[in-house]
Amino acid sequence: MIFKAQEIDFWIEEKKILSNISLNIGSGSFTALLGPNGAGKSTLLKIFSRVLEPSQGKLFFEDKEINSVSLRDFSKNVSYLPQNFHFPFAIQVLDLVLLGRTPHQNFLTFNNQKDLYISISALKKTGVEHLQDRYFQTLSGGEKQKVLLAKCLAQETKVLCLDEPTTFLDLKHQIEFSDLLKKLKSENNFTVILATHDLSFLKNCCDHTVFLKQGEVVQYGNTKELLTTSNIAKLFDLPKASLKGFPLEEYPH
Amino acid sequence: MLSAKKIILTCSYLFFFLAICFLISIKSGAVSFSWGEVFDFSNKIITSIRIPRVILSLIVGASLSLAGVVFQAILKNPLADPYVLGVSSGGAVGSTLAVLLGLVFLQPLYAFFGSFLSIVFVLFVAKRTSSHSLILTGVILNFFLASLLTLFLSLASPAQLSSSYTWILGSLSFSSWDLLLKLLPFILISILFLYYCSHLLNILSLGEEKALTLGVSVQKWNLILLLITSFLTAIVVSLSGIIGFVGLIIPHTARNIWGSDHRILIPTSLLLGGSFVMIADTLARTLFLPAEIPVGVLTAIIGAPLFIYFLKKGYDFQSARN
Repeated sequence: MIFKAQEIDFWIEEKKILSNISLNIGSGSFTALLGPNGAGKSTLLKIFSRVLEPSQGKLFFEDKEINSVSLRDFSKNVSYLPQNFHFPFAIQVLDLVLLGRTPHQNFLTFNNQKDLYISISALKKTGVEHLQDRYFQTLSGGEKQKVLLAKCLAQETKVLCLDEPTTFLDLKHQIEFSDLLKKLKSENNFTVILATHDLSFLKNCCDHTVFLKQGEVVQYGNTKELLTTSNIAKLFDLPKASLKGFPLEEYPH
Repeated sequence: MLSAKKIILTCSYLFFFLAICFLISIKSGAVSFSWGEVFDFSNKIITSIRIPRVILSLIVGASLSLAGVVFQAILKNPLADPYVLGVSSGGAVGSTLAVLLGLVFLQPLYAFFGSFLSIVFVLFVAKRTSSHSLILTGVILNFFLASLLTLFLSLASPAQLSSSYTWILGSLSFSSWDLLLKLLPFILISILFLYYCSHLLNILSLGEEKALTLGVSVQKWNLILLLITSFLTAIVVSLSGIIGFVGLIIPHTARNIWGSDHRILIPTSLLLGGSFVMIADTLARTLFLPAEIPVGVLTAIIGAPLFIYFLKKGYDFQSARN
């Protein structure tokens, strides 16, 4: 088991964002978080990637209490792709991807040949090798997303937490991206947790799905079984008829 | 990608430039020397007045530039400078208080505590070291201390006023080997420590989320780095008064030329900042002979138009790149 969440609550001041989340994320699984805006998908991802700390409840990483794992060791195992990205200072693409090597370096070392090799092959994998000398600020949304994914790959972690990774990608790159994820899955024993609104991508890539609504887990299970018209209609408060043409199983089970 | 070779090469020619500025600064002044006399170490004017003052200007310029770099990275704000968190106004209030109490000889000490206490106050009130709450608290404290300063100055006698003003406008004329040698170890240790953290600053300047997921304890390091940098700034402020614009203009010039990687940004800012204040102080000493103008006035007179020039040229302060 990679992650085990036990009755996690998360509050921002008086507002409850997540309540009573209990989940097991198995090693090697691809899990999607699906739900309406404001359901707490990003917050849950941030808790898994340790950007936020749960207000209550326990989170275990590989059967160890999360706070007993040092931040540095954790960052060798889990990387995180945020939903929005803004850097206050100019940075070149290759330099940014090289920063993904941080958990494996100490503060004084310069990047060695191995770091460079890993970073460049990460850029190749996400198909943005040609951008390596460009300034990150000058890239388009989709390019930025792929560069940051390369940064996550350069971090060489076994868990990837991706917050809406296909939002800014065009059709071609959406397909390439899901192919990339599938390839990674077959190559290494990757675990991926991602938040998404993209149903065909979800169906294509993720074996498990978590339905989140108003900060609670509504349903959790096998993607094939969960992704039915009636379930989705219920999750998003939609009439069933409006879901015609979506890649969903026709009949509820 | 940055290599050690590039850093060494760049720093070598900046160091060469600094050395030339150093010699010119020693040569010029109220008494002008020939090149032969500059190396005459039996000359009292050279050894006990000129050299300590030039070295002080070098240290002040280098430290303020470094502090500017660190504040910009940690507050993730390209317009931050060493004074943004109330260090300067705290120092001004402290030194004026010393003057009012008739303790002029303790002016540097009061200034140091004034500066350092204001930053500790800001860190304490802002609770989390998030850049917005820090900057806001700093701005409010600056307003409060400015009124306190005005109050003090309105209570001061003309003699006290002039003594306070010299300090507030920034001057390197109080330098002596004695004070300099006492403070030098603290300054050097702070500078070395901050340079040691240069790659860490690269990561911290990406933002809290990024830094955390790369395994860096953001809160802890922000606090340590802010405290050390403020300590350094407070020492410098106590030695020289408020010398503005250096901590803003030098890091941006260096970013503009060599990029934002702190492993090259820090040494280049140190060398460039040292040279800049050295030149400014030499001009302040010699432009209106026999009068001496406050160096802080001169750095602002040079700095502000330079800033506007950068803006006009299309320099983007947000991404710090042409």
